[in-house]
Amino acid sequence: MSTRPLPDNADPEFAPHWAGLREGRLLVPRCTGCGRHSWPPRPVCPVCHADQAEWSEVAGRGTVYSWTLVGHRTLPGFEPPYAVVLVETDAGVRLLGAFTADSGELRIGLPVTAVHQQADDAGTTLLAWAPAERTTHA
Amino acid sequence: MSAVISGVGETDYSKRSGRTTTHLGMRAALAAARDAGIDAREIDGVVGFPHSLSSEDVAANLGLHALRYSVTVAMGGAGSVAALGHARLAVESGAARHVLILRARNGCSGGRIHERPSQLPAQHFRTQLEHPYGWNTAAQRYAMICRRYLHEHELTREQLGAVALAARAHAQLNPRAMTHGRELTMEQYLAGRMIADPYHLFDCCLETDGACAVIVSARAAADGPPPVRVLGVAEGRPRTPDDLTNRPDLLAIGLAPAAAAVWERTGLAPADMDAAMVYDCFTFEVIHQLEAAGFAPEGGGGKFAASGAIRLGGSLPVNTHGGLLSEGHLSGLNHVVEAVRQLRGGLGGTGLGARQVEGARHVAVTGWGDLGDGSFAVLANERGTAR
Ligand SMILES: [Zn+2]
Repeated sequence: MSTRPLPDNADPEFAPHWAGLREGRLLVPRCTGCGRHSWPPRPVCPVCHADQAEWSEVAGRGTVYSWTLVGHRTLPGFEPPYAVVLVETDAGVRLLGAFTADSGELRIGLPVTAVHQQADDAGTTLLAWAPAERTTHA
Repeated sequence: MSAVISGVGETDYSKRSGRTTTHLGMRAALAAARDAGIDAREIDGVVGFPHSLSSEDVAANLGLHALRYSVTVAMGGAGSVAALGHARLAVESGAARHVLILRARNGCSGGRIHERPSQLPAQHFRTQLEHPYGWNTAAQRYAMICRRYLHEHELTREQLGAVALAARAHAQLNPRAMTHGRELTMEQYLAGRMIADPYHLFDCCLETDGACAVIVSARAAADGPPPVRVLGVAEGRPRTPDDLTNRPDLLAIGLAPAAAAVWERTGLAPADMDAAMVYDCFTFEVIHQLEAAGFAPEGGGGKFAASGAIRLGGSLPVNTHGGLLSEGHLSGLNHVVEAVRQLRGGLGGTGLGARQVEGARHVAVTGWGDLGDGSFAVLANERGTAR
């Protein structure tokens, strides 16, 4: 517990997700039986019980479903205060991530877009969420 | 045959026990056996918990003659009340006569909570998907639930504070409480440093060294204390109990189906309860559970707490011992012990003194643990409604 916890990029259960982030893509499992995107990855689809999923690219867009601002240090490499946000993506799955803007901007329902943040020299890449650009030309 | 809680026992609750958890556990178990009026060697069933004393530890250290029933309940803090259900099944089926439920921990001196082995399910989700984002403690996880509640319902800091202050006020009437002699004001509450927003310091439970034991028997010893009956007990889980992030409704917790099942089976209603011991790892969890168990309307738990209803003298005194917030953290088994003491005292006598709920007949106990698992029991003394 002396260095920041990072995912094991080689863990086969999650490897395609981390590899995707490294390439700037957001990949989550999609059930070959019922077509649902799901998270976290599971060997069998809890809805239709198909046991095959394919990694499918989804848009890095969504809204903040919930969040917390951590004020008390519990992990190495994390300097409080820092935010952890849970984002409901347009694909329907919810994903955790850091928040790139000031935590004062955080509110449930805030539209956000995915940002890919390199976390170590080995290229491990994590998700962060930034407030979506307010575009006037829809 | 109907199961009864025949004995309860505790050690002191402290910040530094100076003893092993095995030592603490044996002291509490022996105290419970004495209380039940049995020889501890007669215990023939053990309900244990992960990362705690095993049934082998108990059998060896107590010199049990014939341990013939043993089960481990993995629901985090919800396990203490769920254990009553397992113990009841065991004695009512004849699998065992005296079942020991035991919690022993050096929860304060034994290292910080995030440094201890986790009991949570699906560790690979925790280590691979959550810790890398700085999300790794109960406070941080449950804060996400509380934040969602704040979005869907009305809840003020002062209403959360009402839970903390009620617990602390009750603890002033309990010399065993770790915070006995230390009052808490709303100003102090509001000034507590941030732990994981919306949780601040005084929204969070204590850390405790100590042990707590309960014995469930097929029948009470003739010369033992008044038996406390387990009128109903059930456990429940949210959808995706191994993952908080993607369940359909973050506010749908395991307690709701558990409590509904107990109300249905017992024919009793929230209004029949003389007190409730609610698993209070954090202030919001009390409000959330008061709603899920039917004591307060959905979205109305904060108002209910701030009305004074949860204080001694209110319509539903909650955690008269001070709870995890102000008595000590024995994973909610101390809530069962307090319910038993209230029900014994409800029959008259000196009872619990100033914190006795006079004439108590029915006491509800909730459990909360892991990622929203729940458990619920209604306990009663001989004046309570018969099944
Ligand atoms: Zn499917």
